[in-house]
Amino acid sequence: MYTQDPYFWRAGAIATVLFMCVVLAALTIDTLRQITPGGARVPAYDVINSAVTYQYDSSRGEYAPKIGGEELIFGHKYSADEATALLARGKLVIQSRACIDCHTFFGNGAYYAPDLTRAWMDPVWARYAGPNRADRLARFLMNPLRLGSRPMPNLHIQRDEAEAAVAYLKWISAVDSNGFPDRFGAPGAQQ
Amino acid sequence: MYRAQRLGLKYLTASTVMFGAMIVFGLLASIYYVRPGFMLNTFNFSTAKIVHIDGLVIWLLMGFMGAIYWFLPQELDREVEAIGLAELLFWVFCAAVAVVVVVFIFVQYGAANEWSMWFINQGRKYVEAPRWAALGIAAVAGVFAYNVIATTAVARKSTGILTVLIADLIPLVVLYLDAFPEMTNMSQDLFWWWWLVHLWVEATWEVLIGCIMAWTLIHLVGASRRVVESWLYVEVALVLGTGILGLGHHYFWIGTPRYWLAIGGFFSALEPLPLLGMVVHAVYDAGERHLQAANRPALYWTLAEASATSSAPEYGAS
Repeated sequence: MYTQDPYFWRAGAIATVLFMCVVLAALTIDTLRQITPGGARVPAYDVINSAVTYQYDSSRGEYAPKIGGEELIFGHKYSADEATALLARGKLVIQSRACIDCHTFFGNGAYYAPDLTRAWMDPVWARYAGPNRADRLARFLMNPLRLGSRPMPNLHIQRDEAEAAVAYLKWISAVDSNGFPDRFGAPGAQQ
Repeated sequence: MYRAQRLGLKYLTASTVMFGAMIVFGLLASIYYVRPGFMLNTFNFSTAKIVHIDGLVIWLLMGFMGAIYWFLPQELDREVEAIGLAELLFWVFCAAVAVVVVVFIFVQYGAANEWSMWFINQGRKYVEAPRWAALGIAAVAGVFAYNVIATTAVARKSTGILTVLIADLIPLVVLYLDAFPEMTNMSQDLFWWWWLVHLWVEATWEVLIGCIMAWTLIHLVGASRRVVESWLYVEVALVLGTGILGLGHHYFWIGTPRYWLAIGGFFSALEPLPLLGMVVHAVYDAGERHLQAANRPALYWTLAEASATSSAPEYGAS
C-alpha cells in the first residue's frame, strides 16, 4: 500500500513545509512593512517630541496609545536624525544592562520586575522629586529607589545613558501592541 | 568505537555538566523570589537568570551534538569526516562557554557601547553571550553540519533519517545568525529574535529530537527502519506544519499586526499534536515488544523524554 512507502510521507512533509514557508514569507513582508518606524503600528522615532498617552479606544474595545501635541523631553526638540541616534543609544543601554533579564518588554523577558512597555506613562513617577516626568525617570535609573518589594540594583547608568533610555521608553510606549498591557495607568489597575 | 563516538561521549559529559550548572543557577535565582534584596548590587537576579537560561540552551545543543556524533558513524559504517577539527572545536566550545560564564559572573554588564556587545553581554534573552562567543558557536555549528554532510557525501549512502537531519541542520545554523544583529526598533528586534528562539525550539530542535529518537528506536527495540522513517516524515510535517506559523503566538503584543492573534492561536493549539504522536509511537513500539530492548533503562528514558517534551513544549520560552 502506498501509505507504507516512506517516500509518500516524504513528499507530504516537503509539500507541507514549503507551503508553510511561503505563507510565513508573505506574512513577514506585510508585518515588516507595518512595524517599520513611521509605519501603521510603530511610530517614527521623533514621536519623543510629542505627548503620548494610553487611552481606551471604544471602536477597538481595548486600550491604545494616543499621540498628542508637542511635549518635549529634557528641554530639547529632537530632529529625526537626532531622535534616531538617541534611541539607538537608548537600546544599547537596555541591552548592555540586560534589562530584559529582570523586566519584560511587550510581555517578553524575565517576569521578575515590571513590564516596561508603558513605563513612560506609569503614574508612579508623580511620587518622585524632579521638574518633570523625564527628569524623574532619568534620576531613578541613575539611583534606583525601592519602588516595590523587589529593589532595582544600581547599574551605574550615567546621565547621558539615562536620558537615552528614557527617550527609548517614551518611544516604545507609543507602539500599538493590540491592547497590551490592558488598562495600564487606569485607576485600580495593577501596573 | 569510532573517534566520533568518543567525541559524542565527551559532548554528553559536557552537556551533563551544563545541566548541573543550569540547576544550580536556577536554584540560586529562586532565592531572589523569597529574599528580594539578596546580594543586591553584588550578584543581581539578572545574572543568575542569564546563566540559568543560557545554560539550558548550551546543554541541549551539546546533548543533541553528542547523540548525533554517537549515531552517525554507526549509520554510515565509517568514521566522521574532519573528526580532528570537530575534536578541537569541542575544547574550543567548552573553553568559550567557561570564559563567557566567568565574564557573566564577575563582569556582569558594561557601558552602552559596542565593546559591551562584543565582549560582555548582548542583553538579548537566551542569546546574551557576547558576539565573539556567538561567532564561536556559529563556527562550531558550521563544522558540526560539515561533519554530517561531508560524511554522508563520502559514504555515498543516504537514509531517510540522514536526509531529514541534513535538511534540518541548515536552518539550525542559519537561524543562529540572528544572535548578532543590533536593532533599535524593538518590535523588529523581537520579530526576528523569535525566529531564532521559536524556530529553533519548536521546529529545528524538535526535528533533531525526532532524528535521534528514530535512531534510538532502531537500535533499542529493533524497530523497522521503513516504519520509523515514515513516522519521522509524518513528524516533520506535523512539527513544521504547526510550528512555523505557531511562531505567531509570540506576535500577539510586540507591535505586530492583529492577524497574528488568530494565526498564532490556531497553529499553536495544534503544536502539541506531533509531540503527542511521538509519545504514542514510543509507547506503541515499546509495548509491541513487551519492553524487551537492548538497553531497558535507555528505553524508559526515551519514553520519559517523549512524554516530558509533549507536556512542556516551550516552557518558559517567552
